[in-house]
Amino acid sequence: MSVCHRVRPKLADLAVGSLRQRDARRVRLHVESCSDCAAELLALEATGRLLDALTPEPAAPTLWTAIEPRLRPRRDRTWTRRLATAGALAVAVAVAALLLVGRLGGGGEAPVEVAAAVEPDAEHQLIAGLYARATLGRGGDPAAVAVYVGALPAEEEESL
Amino acid sequence: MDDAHGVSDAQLVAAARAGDTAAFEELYRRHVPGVQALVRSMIRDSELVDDVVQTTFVRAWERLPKLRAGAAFRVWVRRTAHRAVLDALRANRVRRSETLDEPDARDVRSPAAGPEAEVVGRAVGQEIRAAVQGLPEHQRVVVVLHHFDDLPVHEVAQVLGLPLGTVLSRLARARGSLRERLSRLVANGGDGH
Repeated sequence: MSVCHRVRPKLADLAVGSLRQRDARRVRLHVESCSDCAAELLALEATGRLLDALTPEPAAPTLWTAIEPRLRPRRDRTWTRRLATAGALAVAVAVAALLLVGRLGGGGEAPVEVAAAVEPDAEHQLIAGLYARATLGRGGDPAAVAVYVGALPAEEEESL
Repeated sequence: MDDAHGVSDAQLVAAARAGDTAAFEELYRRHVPGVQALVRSMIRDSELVDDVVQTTFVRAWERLPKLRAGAAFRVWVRRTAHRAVLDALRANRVRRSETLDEPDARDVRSPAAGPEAEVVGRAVGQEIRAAVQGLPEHQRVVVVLHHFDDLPVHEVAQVLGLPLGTVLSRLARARGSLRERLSRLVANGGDGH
């Protein structure tokens, strides 16, 4: 097989800059001494210039008028986030206080009462999970917090 | 990307994130030609192209708060468009733009098919578009993004979720095919005149 036959398929790669440096050097070396391959490389580069001369066509003016009504107004999430944080803190404090009262009073059933007193919504579950982990981490009574841990959804547990 | 007034994409993204639809409209104005070209390179039906382009920008608006680097909007919105096309194809709602012997009429005959008119002439532009339309889809998409939409190859790779080497290889194969198809124009020196 002649050198030209081996080089020819690589000329397009050379034109788009995808050859490794060493291969590119070899191909260029051949092109410098071969008028046919040099002409082919020039043609490939000229094709690239033709393509570069084109730009995307403009969009129809009516397209935006179809999109705009579908853009829902954004909610201001700053205040809702602040309120959610404040609410979560309040619940955490309340839970901790009730547990403390229950433990000081010696009532073994206190955690159950606490659990019943607080609505088991997602926020509570999250706080309860956090509390359980913190309590167990400090050597707390697993039985006393089990009621909360059981309420913690798996996906939230993963994210903690 | 900046416009003539020096407002960057990042600034517009920040305003749009805060709910400014005028800023988003400006982002749309800047990027819809590229997004539409990408979608059209993958879907043949022009009405459904419009559908997917609309979906792309509505999704972009909804997900904009999740975009961390506003300057990356150019790649991000095209990637959103690419995914919207794939979603639509998966749902079998649209006919994929297969290799065509005859180019899409909208590409050739539309009076709008002439942004290149001043550079290469309308007839030449139409001939080039027809040749590109005749490429296999995987080559056509990279040609449209790189040559028409002017994206650097590494951004093309990001949009399509492909390795850079794959993009370069597809560009090279496409270049070889187009060199044959456009041989008459190329023989004139590649200036299109």
